[in-house]
Amino acid sequence: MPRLPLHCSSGTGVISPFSKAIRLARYGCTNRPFYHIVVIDVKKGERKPPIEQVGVYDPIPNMHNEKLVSFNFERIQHWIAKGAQVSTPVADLLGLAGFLPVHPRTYMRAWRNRRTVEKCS
Amino acid sequence: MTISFYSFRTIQTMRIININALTMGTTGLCETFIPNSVYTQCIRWKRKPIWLPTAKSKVFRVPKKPVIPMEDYVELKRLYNNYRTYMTSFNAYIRQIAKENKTQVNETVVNELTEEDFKACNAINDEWNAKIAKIREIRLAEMREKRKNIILQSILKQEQKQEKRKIRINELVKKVKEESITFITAENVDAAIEECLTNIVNHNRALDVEGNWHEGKYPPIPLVEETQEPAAIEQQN
Repeated sequence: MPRLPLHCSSGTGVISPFSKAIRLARYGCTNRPFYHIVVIDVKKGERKPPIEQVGVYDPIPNMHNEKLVSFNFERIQHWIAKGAQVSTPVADLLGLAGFLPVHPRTYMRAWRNRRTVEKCS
Repeated sequence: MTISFYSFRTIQTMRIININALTMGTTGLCETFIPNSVYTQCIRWKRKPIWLPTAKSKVFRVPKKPVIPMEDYVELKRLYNNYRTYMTSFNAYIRQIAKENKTQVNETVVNELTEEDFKACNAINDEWNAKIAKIREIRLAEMREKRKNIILQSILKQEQKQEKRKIRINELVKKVKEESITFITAENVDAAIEECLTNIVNHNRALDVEGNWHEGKYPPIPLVEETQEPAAIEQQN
């Protein structure tokens, strides 16, 4: 049987003494990724119960060609102040949102895209 | 290959359908699949189990290493260095903010604030209570009046009922008194007997369709005809 998550996706609120990470948890289905931005123990699996959900990320562009993302900045700030690590994709998104400095990966992606466009044209 | 991960029944079904652990995912079965079970739900989830070796087609595959040009490498290094510096200072800043927020919590101040808040809330509560008390008084007065009216009406109805009952009983008593003249008592029982003996009324009569009276006789004459006897016997039975 599929290991269906039986926990609350918005977070259990159970805080362990281990180091935390703010990272993505995949909640989509096949060929349709959808992510929750969650605070969870660094060593816990993707599908394990998170401590808290601090945002949502939909990587597939919608009808207006937008990739939607939402953050709970207050809670993210709280967790970063507590020493939570921020994973690279989340740091990337937060950089684009203007909360953190723009991540180098964003720049890299941008110049790579530019190069492919130049090549194609 | 160890298959102790699967239950006995699942292994059995796997053997019957002739599939292995790899192809099980595409058949809609899973570890907890039980044949003839009343409720099974099959959702595509299964991936290659971790204990299976590298696929035969992938054994000699060598993944390509990405080639990063020197310019990009230098640029990325610079960017990452900047980013890391920025992040350290940012983290320090956020921690400082948190610390400041933490030190701001003073017990006496908090207590005073809570007290003030409580007073304000209490005042509002009292106001609401007074307002509601007025409404309640009006409502209760109305309710009392209504109840009084209902009780009075019920009393009135009861009295009317009693009066009606009295009248009815009086009528009955009158009727019985009027009738009581014709009653046979111990005093006039002899006269009544005598009258009965003198005026014998014979009820043993019958009227036919044409209006002729047939006087009956007592004791009744038994039927002599033989043809009707068995019928009479049958009727008796």
